[in-house]
Amino acid sequence: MRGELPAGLSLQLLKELVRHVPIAFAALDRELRCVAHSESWLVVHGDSPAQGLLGRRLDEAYPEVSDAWRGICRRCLEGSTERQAMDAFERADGSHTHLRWQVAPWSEADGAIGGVVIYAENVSEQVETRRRLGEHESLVRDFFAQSPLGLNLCRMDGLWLQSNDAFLRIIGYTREEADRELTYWQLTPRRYDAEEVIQLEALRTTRRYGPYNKEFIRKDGSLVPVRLHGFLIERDGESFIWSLIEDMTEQRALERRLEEEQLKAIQSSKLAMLGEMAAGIAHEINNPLAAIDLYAYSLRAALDAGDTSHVDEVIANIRASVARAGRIVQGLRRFGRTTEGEAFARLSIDSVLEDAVQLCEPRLSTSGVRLTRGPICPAIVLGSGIELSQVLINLLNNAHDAVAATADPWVHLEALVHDDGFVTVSVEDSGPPLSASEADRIFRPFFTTKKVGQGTGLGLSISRSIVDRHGGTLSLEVGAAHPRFVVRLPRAAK
Amino acid sequence: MSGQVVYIDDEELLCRSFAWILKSSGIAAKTFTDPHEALPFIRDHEIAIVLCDFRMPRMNALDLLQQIDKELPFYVVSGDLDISRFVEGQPRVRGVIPKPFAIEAMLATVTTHVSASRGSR
Repeated sequence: MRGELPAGLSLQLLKELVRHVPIAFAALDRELRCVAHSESWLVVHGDSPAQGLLGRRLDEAYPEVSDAWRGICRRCLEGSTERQAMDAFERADGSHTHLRWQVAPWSEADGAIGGVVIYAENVSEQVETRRRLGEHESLVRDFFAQSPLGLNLCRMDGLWLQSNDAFLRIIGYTREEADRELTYWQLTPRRYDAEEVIQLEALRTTRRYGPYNKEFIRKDGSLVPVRLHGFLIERDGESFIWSLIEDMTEQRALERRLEEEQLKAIQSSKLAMLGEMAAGIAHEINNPLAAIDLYAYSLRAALDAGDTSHVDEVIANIRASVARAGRIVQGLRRFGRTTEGEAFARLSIDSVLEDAVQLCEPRLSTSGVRLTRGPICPAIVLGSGIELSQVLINLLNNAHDAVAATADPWVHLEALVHDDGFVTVSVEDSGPPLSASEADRIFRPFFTTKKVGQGTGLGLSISRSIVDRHGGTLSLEVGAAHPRFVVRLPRAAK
Repeated sequence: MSGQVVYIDDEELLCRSFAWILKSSGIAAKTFTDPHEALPFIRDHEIAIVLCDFRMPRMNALDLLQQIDKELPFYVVSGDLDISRFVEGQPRVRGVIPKPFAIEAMLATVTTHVSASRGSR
């Protein structure tokens, strides 16, 4: 450097100033030899060159320096200033550093260009941050676009602002037809009005709503079952609703199929039960048939002998026998009928119990099992009479099978009304109490304590599913002296 | 005097019509709806034949037969489809009369035993 330094500024001080400038800085002379540099330069440019930088030519210190850089320096020595906001440099180790740099000429006191000064700033971190932000943004964008779950942003008045493809598929509209054109309310059947009020209230008080099962009206007019979840978001002081929409079509179809299967299982278990009871029922029908036969025969004999004195009595007896057989067949027919799709009706629990007893009593008495009754309180429940009879028949048959071969067997029935709005029907038998592990397993499908061929092991699990369908519970009381099955059902509102 | 015909069935109507039929064939029959009441009668009388319903409350035909300690023609009457399962291998059960009855066959059985008891005297 030539010329005068300003007063008070020594060359030593100047060197210190340069050395401590907090940015990467190097001054080169016309031969591109380094005359001064900041320590930051070494930080930015990585490891310092082996023999230092000061006094050496740039391309000596950094053999990897490119021709492009030599060109830049040459142009700057001719008076131009060059800069770049972000420039990737490959380092000797193959890694990349992003630099923001500027090269400008510096002038001697006489105005001649003495060399160039280079400023450089490592912006790799900013570049990385920006890259990550971009990645994140595209991730969110992809998630929105590709999500199999319908996603939708809507204004508080219901106008749809933005929908993803999944949502458009659910409602059957194109993006042009939906976004900023359709409102939530246009696609909502009116019968959901009351439920909508509840969901909006939830949104207002908890800032979220759902899960909410409803239907949307598709473009073609069909209804699609959906489940919605959503939450409130604020953007620039305005509120919006983000909704997640699941298409429940398959789910609903699956549920329907499951229910159909369940009903079929109930039906086939009932038929299996009828099979088990057939012997007892046949006995019960054969008795009146035998009586009719005897009466008819004796009537013939009496008429042949010219005796008509007993005709009326005999005919009355025949008709009473027919009525008795008829009642049994009636009960069977009622019980055997399919219940699929049958709506729940108001039933008196004591009559349901009597229906079941009527079909089971022959079998019990045939095996010498005493049937005793405790209090049978009349109570009204909502349900299928056939299905509930099936449960009680199942319990009675199980009780029969458990004790038929024991000494002095009995089965005890009770129906009690409770203050909590429930009615319980209990079937207790004279058998020994079940072990805790049996009690635990007894409601599982295919669990049976009976001999092979005596039961399917499905009765109790199906009975439990029937009672569940009626909003009640079927349980086994443990710890009592005898096994006691309790059907608990909600009483119907008056 | 021939032996007694005894019919035991918890069905009152069956007892009555059975007795009536036998009466029209000239045979007197003693009927019981409670097997416990039949026991002393059987013990104290000459018996031509016992016809007993299989299923009765508290006691079935085989239980009753066990309590009868003399030899006599004992027939089980039953509406059970699988009654033979219960009486198979019971040497003291002479036969099964199914309900509903084959009345002529039943009457023939009764008549045979009544004549036999008459002849044996």
